[in-house]
Amino acid sequence: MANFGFGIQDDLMIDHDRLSPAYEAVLEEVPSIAACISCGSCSGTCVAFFQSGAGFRKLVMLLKNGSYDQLQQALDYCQFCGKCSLVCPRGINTRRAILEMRKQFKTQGHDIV
Amino acid sequence: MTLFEVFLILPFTLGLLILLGVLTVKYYQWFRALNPRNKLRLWRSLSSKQTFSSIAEMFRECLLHLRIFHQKRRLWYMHMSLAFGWFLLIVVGHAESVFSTGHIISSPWKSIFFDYFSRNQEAGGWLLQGFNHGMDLILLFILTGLSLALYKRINSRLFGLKKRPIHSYPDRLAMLFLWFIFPMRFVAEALNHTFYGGGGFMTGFFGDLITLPDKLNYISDVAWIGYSITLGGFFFVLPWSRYMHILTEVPHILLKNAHVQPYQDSGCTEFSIHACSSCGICLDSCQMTNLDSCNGQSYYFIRTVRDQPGVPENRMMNCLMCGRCSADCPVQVDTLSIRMNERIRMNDELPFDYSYLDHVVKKTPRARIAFFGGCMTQLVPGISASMKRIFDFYSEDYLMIDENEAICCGRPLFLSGQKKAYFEIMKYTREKILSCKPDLIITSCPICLTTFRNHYFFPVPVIHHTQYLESMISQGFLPPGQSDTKTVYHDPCELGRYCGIYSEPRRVLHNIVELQNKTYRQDQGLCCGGSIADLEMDFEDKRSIAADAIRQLVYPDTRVLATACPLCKITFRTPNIIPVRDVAELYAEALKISIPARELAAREALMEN
Repeated sequence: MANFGFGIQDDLMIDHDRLSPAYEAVLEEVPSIAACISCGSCSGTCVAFFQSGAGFRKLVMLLKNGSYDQLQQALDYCQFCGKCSLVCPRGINTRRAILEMRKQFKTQGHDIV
Repeated sequence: MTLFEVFLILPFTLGLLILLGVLTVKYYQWFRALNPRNKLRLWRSLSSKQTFSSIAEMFRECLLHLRIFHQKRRLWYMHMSLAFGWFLLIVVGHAESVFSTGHIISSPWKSIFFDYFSRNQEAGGWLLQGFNHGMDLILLFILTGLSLALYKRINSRLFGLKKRPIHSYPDRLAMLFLWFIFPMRFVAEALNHTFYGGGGFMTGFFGDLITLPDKLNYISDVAWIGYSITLGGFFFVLPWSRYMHILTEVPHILLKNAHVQPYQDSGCTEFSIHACSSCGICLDSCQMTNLDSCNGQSYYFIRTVRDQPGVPENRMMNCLMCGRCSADCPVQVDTLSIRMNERIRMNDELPFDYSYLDHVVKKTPRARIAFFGGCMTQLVPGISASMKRIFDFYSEDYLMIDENEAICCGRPLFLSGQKKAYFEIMKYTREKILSCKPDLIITSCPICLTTFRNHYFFPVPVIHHTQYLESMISQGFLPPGQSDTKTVYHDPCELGRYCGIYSEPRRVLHNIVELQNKTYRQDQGLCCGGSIADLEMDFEDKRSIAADAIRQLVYPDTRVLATACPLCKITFRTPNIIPVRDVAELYAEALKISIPARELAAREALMEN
């Protein structure tokens, strides 16, 4: 098989039967996060995305995947301005979700796995 | 003193002693918890002329409740009759005791149960007769207020309150005791008249109606004991209920006038939350009260802080921080600072990393005016485009600081309680803005303006774009033309209540459109519902608050809703009721001549030559 330089990696697959415990914990507090369709409006408008490359869509993807190391790093970049919540076509309470993620990692760290 | 008299005064005295003991301990603890700097402020204020105005305010607000008078008259009568009436009952009762016995200082029970202790003594002289009637008049005054309080439980709308506050159990118990105090006194005095004579026009009349054989005179004694028990019971429950405000309002006024705020001061916070009378006026002024899903109103929040060690997060975060509750509060409790304290306590330690901002370009060309649009202006670029046009028109030397690379001002972080992260981001934003060495900083976002004024300490003036436009009009330099578009102006919360800018945007609009709401009441502006302070409300709730606010603001023939905040503009657009424009956009459209000032000057110079 030809090597194209990229491929499907296990740790990037989204398995809706086995969502990460952190995602479920956030989902409990912010149910609207389930409505995310990964449209990218949030990342497109994000203040931090321009400089750091981390937007709300990326955070949700990392959270669902359980890539906690990258998520924790990306979470710290958020400036909390709330532009993402104003452009979200699904009406997700993004700031509350980010706050919840930050709290999850502050209180439980990597034990959340 | 007989054994019965001991039984009579015991509940009252015991309650009073417990009240005084608990109060002393609590006040001592709260005073010790004050910041040293705030303690100093308080002492300085006490030793200045400020104390006299504080005493006048205590009389005006603790007894006469004049702030409620300016808002809701029926509610005012209810509160005032109970507070001022009870005060008069104590003062006049003591005066009656002094005139009757000739002793200026006597035991408190001698004046409280005066009619009991002066049984069989005919009130001699017109003065004591007058006291009897006067005391009855005061009691009648209180009882009318009490009947209104009872009716308020059935129909609070009569008092101008949309929703009746639901009190906690200690509050209800204390209220029950309070409600029984005055009817018990009335019954005790009426029965006293039946068996022993005396009394004024009211107790005398009702006492005459009751005909009982003389051997049943112990009923009168029982009624007096009942009165003593209700008094003692009320005093006993008082320190653990909302009625703590009766006494705590006094230190609260002293602290308030010494400019001591509850922000980051646990002592002042305690005084403030106990000075809250839970009257429910803030519940009425809160725009979230119309929504069933919201429970973070200041009434419930302050009560939770007072009664519980920790506040549930949804209650703490469910607030628009628009400041309407604080503006309408008859006690002037700084609800916003208290909420900020709780938010900071919960979220201050959350992790952050803004080192990537080191790479943000900080070398900018020098400009006289630095224009900072803020994050929200980027979502409605019409405002910054209009400001560019206006700056060009007036040939200003300006720079759009955050046109390409934006940094948040940090207020959303601060409002969510992440104070450390806020101060970190503040350093970057401040450096970026000052990099062009401006003489004047203009922002189109009231949220940024509040932050800049509160914490940034810029070496140059910071103004809102409406202030800049107003200065252009007042200078009379190439003023814009006027159209007949019927327009209503909406006061953004942060621009009005936080920064006190009301007249400038109105003056600008008055010159460019037909402004329909020229008159305004300060601090009465409505919130658009999109506030960044709220972290709980969902999209639908915000939209319904926005729609509700628009309906209250506009007239049937209004064509445009003008505002001076990009966030308000975004939020007011969502219900899709009326076109929403920023003041800058209307101004840019109204500029009559499209030739910039520099070109105009050049042409004039050419003509002269």
